[in-house]
Amino acid sequence: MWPGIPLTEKRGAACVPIAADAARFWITRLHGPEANYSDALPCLDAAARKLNEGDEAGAQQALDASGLTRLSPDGAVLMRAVAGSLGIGPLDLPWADGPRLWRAEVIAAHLPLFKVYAPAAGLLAKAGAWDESKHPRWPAGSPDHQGGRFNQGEGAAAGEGQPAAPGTGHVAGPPLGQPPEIPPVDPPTAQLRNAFAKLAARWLARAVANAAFGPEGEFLTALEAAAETALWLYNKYPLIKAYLDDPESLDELQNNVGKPAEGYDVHRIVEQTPARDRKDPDDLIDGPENLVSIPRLKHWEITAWFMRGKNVDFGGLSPREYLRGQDWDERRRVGLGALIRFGVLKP
Amino acid sequence: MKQAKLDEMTIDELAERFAEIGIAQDQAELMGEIGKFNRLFDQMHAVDIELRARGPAARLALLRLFDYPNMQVRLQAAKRTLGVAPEAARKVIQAIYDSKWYPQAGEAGMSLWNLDRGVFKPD
Repeated sequence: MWPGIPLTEKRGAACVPIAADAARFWITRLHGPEANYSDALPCLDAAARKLNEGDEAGAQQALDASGLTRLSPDGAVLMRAVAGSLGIGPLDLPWADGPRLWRAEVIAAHLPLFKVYAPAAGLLAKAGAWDESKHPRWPAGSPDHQGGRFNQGEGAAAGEGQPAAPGTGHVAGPPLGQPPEIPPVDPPTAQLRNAFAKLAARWLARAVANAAFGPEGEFLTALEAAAETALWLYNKYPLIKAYLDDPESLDELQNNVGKPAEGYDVHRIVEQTPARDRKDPDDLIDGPENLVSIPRLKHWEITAWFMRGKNVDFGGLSPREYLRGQDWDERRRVGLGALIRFGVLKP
Repeated sequence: MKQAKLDEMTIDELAERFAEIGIAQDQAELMGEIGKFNRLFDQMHAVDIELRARGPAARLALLRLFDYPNMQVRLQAAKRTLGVAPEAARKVIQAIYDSKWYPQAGEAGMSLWNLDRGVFKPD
């Protein structure tokens, strides 16, 4: 449930609904006290049964039948407050007419409760917590291998069952297209494994940037499932996930240097090899002011940019060649500029 | 197949060659082949020099690549036509930056920044 509250849980091998009181609490936060009289709990039972049968589409249909399609007036305000607090988007749902009962302090008191679900909320938001009423999925077993893919709803022409390939929208970029195919066998070289990680991460990032709301969630789920059985993908998955990080402040990036994590590299704002060639002091090159922890795939992208020759920005020199003749301040300015433009550092 | 010499190519063929090189660059970047990537930039630079040698109208042939399906091709075409079509080219670079289509969006952002601070002087 938005923004990432699990309404079912695993008990042994079985999937069961969470305690009825807990489910009622969360549902009524957004949908109001009337939701107590809805079919939400029986639908939750039905969804858990479907999940136990491996029927995700059936589970979704069961939840859709709960009739919780409108927010309460207080729920609409709470949703916007929670979305703002977690830095994610609210759901695009209508809300019921009626008086508001919760004062601002009541809304504020709810925020810490939702904060617990921030990690799941962030992941789901990045993965596209889609509105099923806008992106209903074809049920499993549908013809033409459409099961689980997105149905464009009533009125879609025959053959249009695939999700619309989002482009870069207002900038009319190339179409996003389908996600890269997950290799059915281990790619034989590190180069190919890395290439897949880049393709997957970039596709997901582009889908999120396009607010495609749907296909990236499906792809992320498929990736996670494949990573459970393929060691090479298990190893690359942290790189892909890290690539989806939002830009962070310089303090955050610097503080994370002391907390090594899978999928991240320590990156020098001022490149180290040219700096050592110029005999810059080690305490500047390796000092905390010069070190940031950034997603490894971003580190590769930025390093490749520094190395690329014939760059017309710098009169045909590579950025690295251009910076060789510049002082520390200009090299740091460009290093920080690259972190901002490559989406790692908050402007 | 032997590649035709650049000075024997028509302007249209040069624009096509530019696009082919851009696509190959994209592939080399994906595979982490920095050396190959840089060699391809040498080739792209050679095409650009050939177009410049044929005058401003020839350089404008790259404008047709502004909506090319490959983002690397678009970006390089726009960066190399800033001197002859500054407004249109800048718009394309800005759109690529806004699209968050990395790694080209990162390079586009750096180009805009370098233009604004006077480091990048298009000719």
